Amino acid sequence: MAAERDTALRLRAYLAGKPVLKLERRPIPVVAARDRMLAVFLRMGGESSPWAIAWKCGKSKAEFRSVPEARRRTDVATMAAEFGDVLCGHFESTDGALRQLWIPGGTHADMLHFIALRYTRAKKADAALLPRLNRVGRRCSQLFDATQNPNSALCVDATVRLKEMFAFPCEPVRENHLGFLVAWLAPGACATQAKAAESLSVSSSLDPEIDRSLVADVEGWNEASSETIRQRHADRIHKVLEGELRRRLDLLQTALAVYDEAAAENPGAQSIALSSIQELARFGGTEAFVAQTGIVRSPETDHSPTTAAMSYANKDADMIAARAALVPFDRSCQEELIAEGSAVRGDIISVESVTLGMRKLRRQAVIETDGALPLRLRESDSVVIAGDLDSKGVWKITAISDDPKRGVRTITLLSQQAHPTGPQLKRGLAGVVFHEKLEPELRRRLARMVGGTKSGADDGTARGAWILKKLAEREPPDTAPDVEQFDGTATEVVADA
Amino acid sequence: MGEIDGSSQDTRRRFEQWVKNPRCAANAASAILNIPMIKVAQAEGVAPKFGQSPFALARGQNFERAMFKDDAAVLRKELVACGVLPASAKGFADFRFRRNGGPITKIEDGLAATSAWMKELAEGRLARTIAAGATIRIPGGVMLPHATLCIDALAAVQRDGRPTIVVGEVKVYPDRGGYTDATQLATSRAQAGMYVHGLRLALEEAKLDGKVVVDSTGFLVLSRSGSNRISVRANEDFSGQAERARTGLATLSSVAQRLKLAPTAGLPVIQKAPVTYCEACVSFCERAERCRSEAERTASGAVLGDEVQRFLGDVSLERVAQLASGAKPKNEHEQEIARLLASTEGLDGR
Repeated sequence: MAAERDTALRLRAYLAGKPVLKLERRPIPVVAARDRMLAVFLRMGGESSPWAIAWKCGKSKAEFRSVPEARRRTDVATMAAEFGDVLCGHFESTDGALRQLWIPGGTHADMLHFIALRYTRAKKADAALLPRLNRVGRRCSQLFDATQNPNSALCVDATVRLKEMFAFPCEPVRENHLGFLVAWLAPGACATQAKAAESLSVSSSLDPEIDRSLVADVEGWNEASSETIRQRHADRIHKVLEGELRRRLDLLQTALAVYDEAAAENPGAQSIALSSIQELARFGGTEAFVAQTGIVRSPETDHSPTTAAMSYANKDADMIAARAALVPFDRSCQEELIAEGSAVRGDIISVESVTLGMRKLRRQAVIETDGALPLRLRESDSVVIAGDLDSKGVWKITAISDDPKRGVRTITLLSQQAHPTGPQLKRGLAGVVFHEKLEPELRRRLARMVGGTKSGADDGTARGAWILKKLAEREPPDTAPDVEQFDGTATEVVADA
Repeated sequence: MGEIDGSSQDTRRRFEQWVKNPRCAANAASAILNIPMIKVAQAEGVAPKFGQSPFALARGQNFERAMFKDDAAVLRKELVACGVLPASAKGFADFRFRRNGGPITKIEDGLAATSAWMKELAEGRLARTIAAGATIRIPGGVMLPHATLCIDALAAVQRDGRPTIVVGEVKVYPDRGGYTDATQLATSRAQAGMYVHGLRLALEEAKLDGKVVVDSTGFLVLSRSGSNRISVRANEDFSGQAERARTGLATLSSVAQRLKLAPTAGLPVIQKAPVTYCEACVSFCERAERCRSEAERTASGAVLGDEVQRFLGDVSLERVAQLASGAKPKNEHEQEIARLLASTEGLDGR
């Protein structure tokens, strides 16, 4: 059904002859120019280290760095360290404000990961260079993680954000090209312009033709007999790479401007900004720990199943937190929840006060919804009304019944408070949306439980071991007979049941 | 890695090309006749846009050479560490072509040398436990005009009292754990699955299938980020991919028989064959733009991707526009389309 919504939006874009907004509001904050840094990378074919890097901090002029031979690890490391100094400085001098790194697309995010994998725990390098390399490795690891986290706005992949914001009149596979997307979003754009933009590479890889044109200079640089000849080759290589970097950087700036102007910011984005600032503070704490102990988390492994489980639960919590922040303020987000069956839209058939037991007073509402839509919500699930910004008025589903003849579904809801917060419900109110209650804190608690001892005290046991012990205690004794041993009849089994 | 020669494609590539869009008759004809689509596109005046960086090609060759240097010392150390080979394993069989740093000059020599190695294993002699560039021919009739596979790396071990071949696939992209590119991994595994199936067929043909076993699990050799060191992923299960290769080749074979293409049929057959555009064409076919233009002309939903095409079926985008303007749906399917369009009413573009 979520795929159907995507289909519908794509058809709408086709009919309009231009991209259409998927979301009502921009889901992440775009910080002021002084607080953002833009970075683009280039790599030599087959290599996973950068060949050239460009960056731009705030309103200062763009910087372009390259090495003539990307296979010379020391030269690449020196360049990476220089970039790293600027990158780390950008995020370290925050004064409590949110800072962002903007990158053009997925391959540039991958480069952050490559740098993290290569340098976080590097042990061999010039003594002055090594700590700088380790530092940029750790920072890139954090920023790569941020690209995977919807509850973080520290590192923004422009392609992902534009795809999330707009539906384009084309095949999804074409949407991975930032130039293509930006061309479609330009005033008076058409398919021909987008197709022309698509022919120029925006990824961290160069067009094979450009790689081919550089072969002679790279070989010439390697085999040069004098420093003058060497420099001449290096200059030629830099000129080509700078041109490629500049084009990507300009495109990224245009994409940023387009995204910024696309729609007003979702008020929930401030919650994502806050969580990103907290993430920066946490990273500062980790850096202090590294300086003190020399112990560095490997970007390659979680080290133990409990840490992996904890990370998983935390990532899940981040996903839920981002949704919880954005859904109340954006009807398109609510539409997505309805399409996937995690929310319902219906008309209020009745609202009444009911008494539970002796004294408990509650509100009971019955709504009628479209019976053709999918429903993942079940009886006893908790939901909130979409307009309830605090999400504190919780309703529990007590009954769901389908009427195939009329094509409607009736859902009975019981408030969990005597006077639930949120919009007041009354009979006849149409188009009320109830969505699942999004509770990231439950997942965070699970992460803490998995990753720590039950009491929180260090009792010397392995982290999370108490869960396994608890499970073993709860396991009922295996009294069921084996299939081979069972000699009862079917009637006896039914009688037992 | 694993090229046969420049003028034609090896069987695996032809098979993978067909699998990407099996509904396109031109694509099937290109795969069956072993005429790469780039040649058809060039004949139609299209400049080729796919290609490989010379640096990437050089890197691949250097990576492989370093790995197989000194009787595959680097690879052996990693395979032993991963438990693929026992610590006592010795010997290296080099079936690579000369341009890849091996001793073989002709395909026939490669086939004969590989066949001799398999016979050696069948006789219980595990003197050469790593083989590079093994060349096998899938027995006749599966595809036209020939079916040859060139396998990056094989390991030979004794398991359950029988000589067992373990298939390996070498790729130069970096191993990033759970973040390793999923598409690249899937392609590598599909490639290895084809080798598992091909080796089984070759052993059956040589009547060695009872004596030598091909393991369904194998290994991938990837690089480490920013370095030339290798990263071996052992215990990769290729059984699903081997089965995919088996059923896929059988289907392709029946398609070949149905199309009744003479092995000598050339470009015109492919040029005249009907085309069916889909999203995957963008990533592999040099004629994709031409076919997309045709899809645009006929207002096919395929220009908006596979998902839209599946949803619309035979209904054209022209008809969708009519439904959006209030035309009366003719059937349930059109009603469904109209309902979907109504759900996004009001979105009229930026």
